[in-house]
Amino acid sequence: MTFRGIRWVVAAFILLAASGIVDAQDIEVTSQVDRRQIAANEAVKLTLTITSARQLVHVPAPQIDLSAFEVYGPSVSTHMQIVNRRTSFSRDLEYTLYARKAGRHTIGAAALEIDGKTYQTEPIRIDVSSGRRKSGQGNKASGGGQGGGDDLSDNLFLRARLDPDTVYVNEQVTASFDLCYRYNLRDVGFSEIPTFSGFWTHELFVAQRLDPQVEKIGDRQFHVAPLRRMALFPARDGTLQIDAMAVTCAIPQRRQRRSAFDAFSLFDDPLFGRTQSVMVRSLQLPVVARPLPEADRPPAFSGLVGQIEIQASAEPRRVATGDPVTLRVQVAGIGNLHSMKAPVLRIDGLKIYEPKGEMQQTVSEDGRLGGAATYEYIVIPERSGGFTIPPIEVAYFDPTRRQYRLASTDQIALLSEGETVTNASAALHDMTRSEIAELGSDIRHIKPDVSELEAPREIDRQVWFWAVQLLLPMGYVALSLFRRHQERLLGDVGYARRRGASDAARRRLQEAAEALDSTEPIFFATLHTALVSFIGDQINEPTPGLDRVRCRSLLRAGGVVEPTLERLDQLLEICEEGRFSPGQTPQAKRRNVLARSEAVIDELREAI
Amino acid sequence: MRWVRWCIVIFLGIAGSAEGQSAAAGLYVEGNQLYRAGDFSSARLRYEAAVRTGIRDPRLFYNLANATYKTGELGLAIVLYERALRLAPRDEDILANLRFLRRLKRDRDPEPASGLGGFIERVYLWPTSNELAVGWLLSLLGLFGSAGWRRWRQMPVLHTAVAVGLLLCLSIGGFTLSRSQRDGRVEVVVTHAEGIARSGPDAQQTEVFVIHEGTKLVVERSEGDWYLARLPSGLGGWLPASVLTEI
Repeated sequence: MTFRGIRWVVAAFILLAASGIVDAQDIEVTSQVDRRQIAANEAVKLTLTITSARQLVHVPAPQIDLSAFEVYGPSVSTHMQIVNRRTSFSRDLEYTLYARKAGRHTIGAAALEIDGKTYQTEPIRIDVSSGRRKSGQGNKASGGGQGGGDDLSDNLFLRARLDPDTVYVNEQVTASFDLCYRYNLRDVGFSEIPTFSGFWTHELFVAQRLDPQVEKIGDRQFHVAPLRRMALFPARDGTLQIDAMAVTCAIPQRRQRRSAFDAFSLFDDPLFGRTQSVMVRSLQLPVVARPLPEADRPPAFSGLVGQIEIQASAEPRRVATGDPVTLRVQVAGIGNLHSMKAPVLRIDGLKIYEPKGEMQQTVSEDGRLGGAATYEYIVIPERSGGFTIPPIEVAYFDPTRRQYRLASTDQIALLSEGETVTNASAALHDMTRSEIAELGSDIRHIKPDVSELEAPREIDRQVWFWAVQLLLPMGYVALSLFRRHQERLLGDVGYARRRGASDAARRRLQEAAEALDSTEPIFFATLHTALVSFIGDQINEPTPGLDRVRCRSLLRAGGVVEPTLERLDQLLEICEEGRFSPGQTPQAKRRNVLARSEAVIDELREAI
Repeated sequence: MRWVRWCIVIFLGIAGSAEGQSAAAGLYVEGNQLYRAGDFSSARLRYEAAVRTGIRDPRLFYNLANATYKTGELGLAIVLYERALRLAPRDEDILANLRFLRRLKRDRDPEPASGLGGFIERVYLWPTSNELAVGWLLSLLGLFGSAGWRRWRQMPVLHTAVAVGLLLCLSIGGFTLSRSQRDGRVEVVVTHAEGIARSGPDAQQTEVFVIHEGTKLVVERSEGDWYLARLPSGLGGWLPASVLTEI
């Protein structure tokens, strides 16, 4: 069988095994530890192995009693093996265990339920000695100048210190935790952090990485890396316990050379070699908190222990009655300023609102916590006149002098002018200082009496608002038409004559009517001109060339009906006879002719 | 004789209106006297009677709001100040008291926008509806005036004037339309101590948020006795009409 053939067979076999077609073998669960005897700060590795003939899709978390240990993990790894054409799958769960105390402990039996069947391992006993164990690196370190002894705890420990260890209640104790070591360390991490029960705490420093200084401890040089520094303020008197802090780390192990080739082994490098997991704990430390003396305790004392100074300022000093004044009180110094309460101010004639407090914390070079607390009060004079804000006092206990002291401000004079404010007691809830200052102390007063009430005019509800919107485009259209008419009058002679024909005819007919009493030729000549000129203007033809025949033909072409043409023709004939054969037409007949002419002109106006 | 009848009807209408106005003014003055004497409840009753005559005077709503606040109804007082503000948008007293009451309510209003956005918003909200109406008419006048002049004088420079007029008209028209849409929104104020906004118009629906007296919301739609209302932050929910009062 070729290599390619074998590969295909193996692949098919794996697939079959993975899909569970291969006969299932019993599942086996075992547990083992890397060693059964350890020192108190050493780790033991517990490996739980689940072996099966088919791949297990889901493996539930095993039930193990590990109450005697601090547990890290598990880390999970899976493997597959083919031995004598039989496939097996295994899953390793690896736990790192640190004993909580020295003595004989039992790693409980691990119970695991798979496919309805429970599998169980045997319990394992572990001996944890409180004595010293040797470090693998320590052996080497002694030759490298890093470690002078063989014991792990001689070369690696967590140091806890208190400064000082006896204080008054609410006086600062600084707790420092430093990692002292003479090995190369990897994967350093906090494992247990004390709760500092019974203290008000403030964290001064937490290491993000090891930043060691060389320090001689006893007769040996150590790397000392500060890990954590806390400012602790005892909340009650008595002996308070600071719990141990625990840190885990890994110490790279050096392999023993078994052959000459090991000298060139890549895995001899600490980066790639094995490591030893180690947990180190600090000692528990007691803090003695002495009670504050009862004697001479000022009534205003609110628990502040330290050294402080106080200052106050008011701005503006001169205001109108009812206007706000900002009173700023600053308390600065060393101590836990959080334990201080804002001074309570009550001054007759001044309304003083709850102050807004701001805190700025500082840490002195010697690690003492302090800062400045600023309180801003809004003060509103309720009546006019002068006011005096008396010295504002803050009582504190000075631990160095072991006595109570008072820090006080100078008195501040205010002047208020104007009328006395009424209704100044509004329910201001949780308004801020600026909000109160912005608003004053109450709503504004009612509007004065009026003889009549009226709703404001809303323009968009007025008729003229909509009329204007309608008239503006209409006006524009009218203007455009008028302008167009004027332009045509100027540029189009025919249009101009036609537009003026009626007026001209009316004027000429009027002249003819006035000529009724004059001589016959004048009357008929005027009437003839009125008729012919009207026709000429309407059809834009030169009047001098218009005789009866031409008039008739042009008007017929323009769509004038025959009876009208006939009447026109008769009138023109009468006019010509009257002009050239006078004395034959009585005045009554002339009037009749005039009336008929007017009628014909009207007919022609309609027809053309 | 028909015109005589019409004249009589119009005269009676005007006389009736004047009489109603005088009655309202009388109630208003009485309310003021009671308010000054510290009898806020009675003052409130007088002002409310004046409002029922149909008079919509901002001073009346303002004084009624003052009396309502003094009788301990914060939410309703805010509604009345808002009504007064719609009638007199730049009245300093109304603005100050409304600002004061907004500080007192439990739910905090979002801070007004700052920078360029805030400036644009202030400009957008600055003109009153009357000013917008006048602006719109003036822009129309400018447009048709310039167009008519151009038609009359036939001067090329007037083309630009027409274009500017058209642009101005479109801008002011768009602005006015946008503002009128915004001003036409139905706004409500919570007038109960607390209102629970739910995911649907039913008391069994999931609770979305809780708002308190005095908070203003914009109504998107209603269904039965429930309003889908939205806070300025955009958060919305269904609230029963019983806890809300329309401005």
